[in-house]
Amino acid sequence: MSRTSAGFAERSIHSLLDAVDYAAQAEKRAESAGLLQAMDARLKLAGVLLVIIAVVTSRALVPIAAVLGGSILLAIGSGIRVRAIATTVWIPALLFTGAIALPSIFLVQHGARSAAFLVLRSVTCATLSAVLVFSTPWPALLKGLRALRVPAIAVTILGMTYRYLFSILDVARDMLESRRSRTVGVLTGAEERRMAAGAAGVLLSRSVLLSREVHFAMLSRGFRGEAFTLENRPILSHDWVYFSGFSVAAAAVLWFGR
Amino acid sequence: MADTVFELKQVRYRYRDLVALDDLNLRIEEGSRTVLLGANGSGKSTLLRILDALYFADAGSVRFRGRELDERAFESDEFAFDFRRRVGLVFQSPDVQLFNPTVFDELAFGPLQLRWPRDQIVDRVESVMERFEIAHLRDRPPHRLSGGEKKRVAVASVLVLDPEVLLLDEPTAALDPRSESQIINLLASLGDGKRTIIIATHDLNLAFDIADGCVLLERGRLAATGDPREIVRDTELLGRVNLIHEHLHRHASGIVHSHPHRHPHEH
Repeated sequence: MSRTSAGFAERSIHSLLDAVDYAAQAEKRAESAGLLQAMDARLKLAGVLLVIIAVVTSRALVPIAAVLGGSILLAIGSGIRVRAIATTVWIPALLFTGAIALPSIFLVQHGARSAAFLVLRSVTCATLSAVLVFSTPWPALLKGLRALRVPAIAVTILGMTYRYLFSILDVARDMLESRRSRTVGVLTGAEERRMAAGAAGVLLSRSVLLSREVHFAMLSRGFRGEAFTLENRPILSHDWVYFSGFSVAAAAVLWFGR
Repeated sequence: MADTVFELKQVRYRYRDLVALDDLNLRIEEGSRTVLLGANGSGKSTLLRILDALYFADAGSVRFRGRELDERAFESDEFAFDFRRRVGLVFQSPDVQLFNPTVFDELAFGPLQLRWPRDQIVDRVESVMERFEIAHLRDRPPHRLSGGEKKRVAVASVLVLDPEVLLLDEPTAALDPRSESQIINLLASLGDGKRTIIIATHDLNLAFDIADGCVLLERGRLAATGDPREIVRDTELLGRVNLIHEHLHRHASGIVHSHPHRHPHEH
């Protein structure tokens, strides 16, 4: 049965499998050898943030375009396919900001320049963010947020959300496969909607039960309401070299974009 | 004479209308390896959670080394931290127990909560990972672990605190034979005479292989206590509490009969 003619269960199973597959590929890419993968996540996050702030405050297009070019080079050096960035970042960014910027070309004096700034800034910042995420394992990225004084409880919640996303995906897939194995014929639209609503309700119920059990597991190992994290990777000398590179880039953008 | 670690007197616990434990009297001695046997729904998991002070009895008394385990006792951080370091529970489902982003974070969770110094945590976690042969999994997220690896990490995450009492809920459930034997060997190696181990299971082989004491539960009540080897051989008792079944089968000799038995077969 082709995916286009498949029912709700089949389409949903395909989507869930695609999501899990995408996440697995992203994890492998973030853990592979590469230029940015070798850098400490905390300094990488701080460096990217510095450059993003510089891009947002720049009043010249050329420095912003230079950062975009540099981001693409960093992506290539880190084994991140440019096509992946184009499909996940550039196309959505261009469509979204382009739709906002387009009227200003005709309605505002120097509208074309304003539109160019808006589009180029958003695409550049989004590209930098994507390169950061693609080159950093999610747990390391979350710990990096602690270096920026993001509260430990927020980092803990985000970490557990990521961790249990896969458990919930597995449960959802099993539920749908079970339903598909017991369904004969083609369901009407109304039947599919009822099935979807029922599945969502069951999934929510099981999530609530799971969260209760996880809370007990946390209590059992001493949790008293406060969250703590531990960074076990030391910052090495080459991490500071990388960070210096980001700092110089940010300073250059601020200077030439003033 | 060994010290008493846990003492339960007339303990009762209910989930709304369902009585999970009723009039339970039990004593667990230091250094013992006790197996809680019972069919599904007999109250084994509930009893473990009461021993781990996750549930508190509706009636009766639960004491740990002479100290009453009630909600008021756990209002004190000092007592709570001391108890959590000394008593550890390995949950039946590793997916419940493994809630951190990586294996390293999982093992570090307990010591972090108990406010250990950073260097001590790192040293202890590295040491436990080496012992459990999971150092190569340190940065792996739980959803990318196999069933056997998850169970090893789950046990390691509790043993990192070196508890004097180890509670395990169905430790061999859903494991392949190789992983199951690894866990059984691990449990056998933990019994050094000082650590108290309590295992909830319906696996009669586990009772036979590891335990020196057995508590048999039936619908929340105590059905029997004693030597696990004697209890496991009492087919009438095991049949009554639904731990074994009676079925019709044929022998190679051609004889067809039925009788209550436990697997593996004994004829």
